[in-house]
Amino acid sequence: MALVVQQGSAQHRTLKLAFFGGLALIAIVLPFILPDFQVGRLNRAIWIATAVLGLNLVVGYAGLLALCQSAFIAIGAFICATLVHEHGWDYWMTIPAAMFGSFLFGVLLGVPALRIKGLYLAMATISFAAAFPALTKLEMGGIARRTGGANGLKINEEIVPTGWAESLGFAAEEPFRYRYFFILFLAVLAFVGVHNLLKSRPGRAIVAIRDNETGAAVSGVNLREVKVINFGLSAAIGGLAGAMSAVNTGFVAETSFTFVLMVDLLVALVIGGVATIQGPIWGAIVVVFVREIAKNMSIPLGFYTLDGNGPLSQAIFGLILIGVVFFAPRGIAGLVQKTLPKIVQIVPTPPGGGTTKQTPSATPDLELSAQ
Amino acid sequence: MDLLLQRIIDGLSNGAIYAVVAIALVLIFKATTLVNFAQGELAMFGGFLFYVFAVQAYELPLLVAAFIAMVLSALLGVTVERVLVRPFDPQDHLPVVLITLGIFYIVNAVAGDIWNYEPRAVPSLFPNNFDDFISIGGARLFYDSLGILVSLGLMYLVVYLILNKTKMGLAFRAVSSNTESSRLVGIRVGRILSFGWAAACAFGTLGAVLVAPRLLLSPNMMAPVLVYALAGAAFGGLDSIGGAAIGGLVVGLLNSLVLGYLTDIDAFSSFRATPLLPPMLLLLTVLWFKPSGMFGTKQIERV
Repeated sequence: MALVVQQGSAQHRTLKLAFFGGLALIAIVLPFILPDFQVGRLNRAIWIATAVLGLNLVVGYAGLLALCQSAFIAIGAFICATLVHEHGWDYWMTIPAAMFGSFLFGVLLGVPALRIKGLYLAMATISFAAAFPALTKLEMGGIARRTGGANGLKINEEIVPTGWAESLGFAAEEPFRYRYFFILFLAVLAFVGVHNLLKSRPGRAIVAIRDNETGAAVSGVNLREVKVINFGLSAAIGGLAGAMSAVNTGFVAETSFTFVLMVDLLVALVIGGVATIQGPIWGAIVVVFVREIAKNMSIPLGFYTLDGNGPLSQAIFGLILIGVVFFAPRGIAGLVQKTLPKIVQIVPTPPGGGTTKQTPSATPDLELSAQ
Repeated sequence: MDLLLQRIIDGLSNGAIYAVVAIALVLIFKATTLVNFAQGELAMFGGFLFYVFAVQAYELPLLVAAFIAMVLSALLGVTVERVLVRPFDPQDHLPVVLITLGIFYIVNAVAGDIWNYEPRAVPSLFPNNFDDFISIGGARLFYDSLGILVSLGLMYLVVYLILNKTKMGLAFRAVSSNTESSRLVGIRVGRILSFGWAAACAFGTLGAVLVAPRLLLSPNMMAPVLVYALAGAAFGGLDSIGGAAIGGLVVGLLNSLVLGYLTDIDAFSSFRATPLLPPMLLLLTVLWFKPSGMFGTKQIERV
């Protein structure tokens, strides 16, 4: 029997506090139990979740298949690395620059790209994502010098704990632990920011355009402006993720931002749950960690054994992907939203403040994601 | 002058291969209104089937082996469509895109597991020794290139005749114009979808068999070809077969000319490392002016 909790009651607040407090506790303890290289992988999951959060703004909430987030991640990563490497900035100062640079690129690309509709947009943007890594190697205008060309840029030595962090006991020999908290802090900011954006007037406009473009325009939404700025914002969050990836590995090279990464992001989005806030987190965990687990799996199929230790780990991953689309079309977030009401039910406060029984309505998150 | 001619010939013969794959993409788009991102991998698998019948196991005559490979890939395509694609509403793009990406992963990995990732030489359907060419104004038109261009022409003719002169083709065009109405007038839509996928996979395999001697056969062979073919198909318009043929040729030509001439200029020398750039710029420019491609049907929305 599900626990029925009234929205806004003391019980509800306690539950929320316990939930988020528990999450925070896990997030703080986790890097101290895991070995250093696993923390590095965790950092990767966090920046991928952030990148997917940005992708979700365009693909999920705006319903546009723009598949060039990997290029914006690359831009952010290169801005971060080149400012640290060439101009001697501190790495944390580069974060706003990386976001602003990616935002500008996003707006510049968004103005022409958003004229294109449906699958044409998918094809144009995915070919842009495929061509982008090669663009960073162009000799023109000093691009290759600033991006390190085929060799990439190494900024590992420059990313060390700041003075006060060092006094807290973060050692330079185990860099990932300090970087974890830095990256996590940025990611939390991004998630809270996007969550609030979607509850605000511009956020509602984005969803309104997806659900009915003509209807939104009639209701006074400036289609072009909202679309382009949304695209720019998504790019800016991609740039943030790129800077986070640069901080995590201390090394940036074009080979990390191919359209393979783009496909991973899309896969993470769909497995996690399109047009949800928690979806990107689930998706990033699956993409980063399930890949590793798939390597230790073997699935006997009668005459043919799918052995994960080799090229077939990709096949197992493909099977998981198809399985999710078939059996959980709304992703892990959809499963969570389906099972959660069976454990805890939040009912809205009835008018007058009484405690009359009322049929529980869907949570606002569910309404947002329902298409 | 002869260098220019040579580059045009090379560009066209590469472009013909992109055109073949682009036509396969368009066939699937017309039937099921989806872009099949697994097209290249399914074609690659067909290329390996050709390899098995022509070299590895049976040493059949090359044309026979190519024919068997095309038939088998057509069956594979029909199965994939029936089992994995038909349950979904193609108007909702994202799930179907994900399904085709899943197929991409699976086919690539299975081919890699069976035949490993070592690139291997494959016999060409046409004579391709160093002296098998016709000389045109100093440029060399190899029989190989000529054969590819002729294959594209034949394939286009076959598709054109089927679509415009047979009852099946009429039904296909009806389904691609309005699926619901076609179902109401008694067309078996399922069969048409199967036909579209079968034809696309067979022609995709033909493309792989044609390109394999040039790129060497390996599981990752078709990924760049697919990107060029996507650019070609979008250039021509996703629902236009003729447009796809022209788009593929234009992409091939552009690549050969831009990479050939522009890289001689110092500032652009690094373009050699970015072969994807010209088709991408072309695609963005064309779609900016004509959002449905050069020859595609305009999308009109009704309120």
